[in-house]
Amino acid sequence: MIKLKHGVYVLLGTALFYASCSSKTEEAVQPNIANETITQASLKFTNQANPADTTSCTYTFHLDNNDNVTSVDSTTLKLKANSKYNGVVYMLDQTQTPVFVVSNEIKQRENYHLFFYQPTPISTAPVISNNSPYIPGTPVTPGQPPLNLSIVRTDLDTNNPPLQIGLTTVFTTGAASSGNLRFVLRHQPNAKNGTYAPGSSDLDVNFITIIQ
Amino acid sequence: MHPARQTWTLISSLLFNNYTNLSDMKKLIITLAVILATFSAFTAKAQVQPGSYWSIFGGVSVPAGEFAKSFYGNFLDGTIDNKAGFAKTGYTVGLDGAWYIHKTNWAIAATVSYQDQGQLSANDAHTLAAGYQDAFGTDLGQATSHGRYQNLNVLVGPQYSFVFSKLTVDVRANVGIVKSFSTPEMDIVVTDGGIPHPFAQLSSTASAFAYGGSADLRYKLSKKLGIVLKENYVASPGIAITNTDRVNNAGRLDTKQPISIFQTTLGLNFGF
Repeated sequence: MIKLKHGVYVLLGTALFYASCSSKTEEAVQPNIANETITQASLKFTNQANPADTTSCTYTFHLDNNDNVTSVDSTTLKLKANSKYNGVVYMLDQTQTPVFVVSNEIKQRENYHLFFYQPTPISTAPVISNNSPYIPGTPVTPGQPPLNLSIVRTDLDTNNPPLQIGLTTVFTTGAASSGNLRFVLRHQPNAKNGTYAPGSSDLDVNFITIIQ
Repeated sequence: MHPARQTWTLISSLLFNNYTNLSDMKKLIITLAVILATFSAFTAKAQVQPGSYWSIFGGVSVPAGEFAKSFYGNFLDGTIDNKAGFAKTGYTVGLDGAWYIHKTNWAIAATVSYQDQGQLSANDAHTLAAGYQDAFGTDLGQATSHGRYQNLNVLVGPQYSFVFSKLTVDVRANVGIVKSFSTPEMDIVVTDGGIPHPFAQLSSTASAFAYGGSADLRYKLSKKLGIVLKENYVASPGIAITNTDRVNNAGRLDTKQPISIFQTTLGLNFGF
């Protein structure tokens, strides 16, 4: 009987010990880290009617030793009138050795990145949908001749349902004209829905564009 | 191959494998016990008829496999572990019983047990925060967790007993259900450009299929009273987990949490 009592005491003691363990809240904040650095962004185009006909434009950020932007430069995008071009985005981080291809990482992180392309000037407000590469709120300037350029994204991510990315595109040109192409990369972590609004911009640059 | 040689090959492979952790050793013990029981049941006559009993028990419950992992993985190399359970060693209490088929050593046995497998630690929350921050490429990752793994197992199955005077060895196979009362809730906020994007893995109260096996030693203190030391293994393919506000397919996403536990218990058994 003494053995039995000891056994019961052990069981009760164990139960009381564990019952005293209560649920508590654990919270952790991961320290800030820098996003990927983009020092150069290029758009490379191939004419669908003539693969030998290629063109490109490049935007470059020059940084000091503390990664502060000291100056920028860009090249002009020149496209033939009434043509269709396949476009590809190519982005680099030249602060790393070897140079890091950021656009490859954007492809890996495609489910929360979205590229936008906005020609200006425009004579009418662009139709905005979750498949539109155009930027809502772009000012309409009816008095100015528009840049005759339309853009369609051609790649899809692995969200369910899939959403466009914009690493590859088709640019369709109209009559000769000139203006700017605004090129924006939106970072939309757990918020990408095909529209411009969610998230923040990783890149927002302009290329002088000439259709000739 | 001769049956005896086949048997030896099986046992030697079990014995001489490179067992690297406690779970593997426990699996080995239970496997050998089941093999022993199976062979003995068909080759030996029972010396003494065992009597039906019920028991009350308590002990330690140790998570294993994915359930025990505290690992996030890496987004870019595709090693994110969606099933890591972050479960901890906890306790179990319960009731057990076996009802013997007339004049045999075979019984129908049942167990009802309650388990607590702990909650996420501060380190686990850091692991989640860093993992989601990397997976979504954001400036900031924040993870908050509360709630514990608490569940009930209801298992039934056949039991075979070897009776040696006051000592009885039982081996058992089980099937049944695991009913979750709660699982740790994980509230995540990834912030980029000063904009917070929250989402959560909710606590689950789902039920799921469970299976396992056990081996125990029962020692008679008197005609109707004894003590029992038991090693029990329970596994479930997984209880359903609900996630909220998951807009994009990125980062850890657990929709079904597998459970795997080893329990070492001590109890009192009462004959009837």
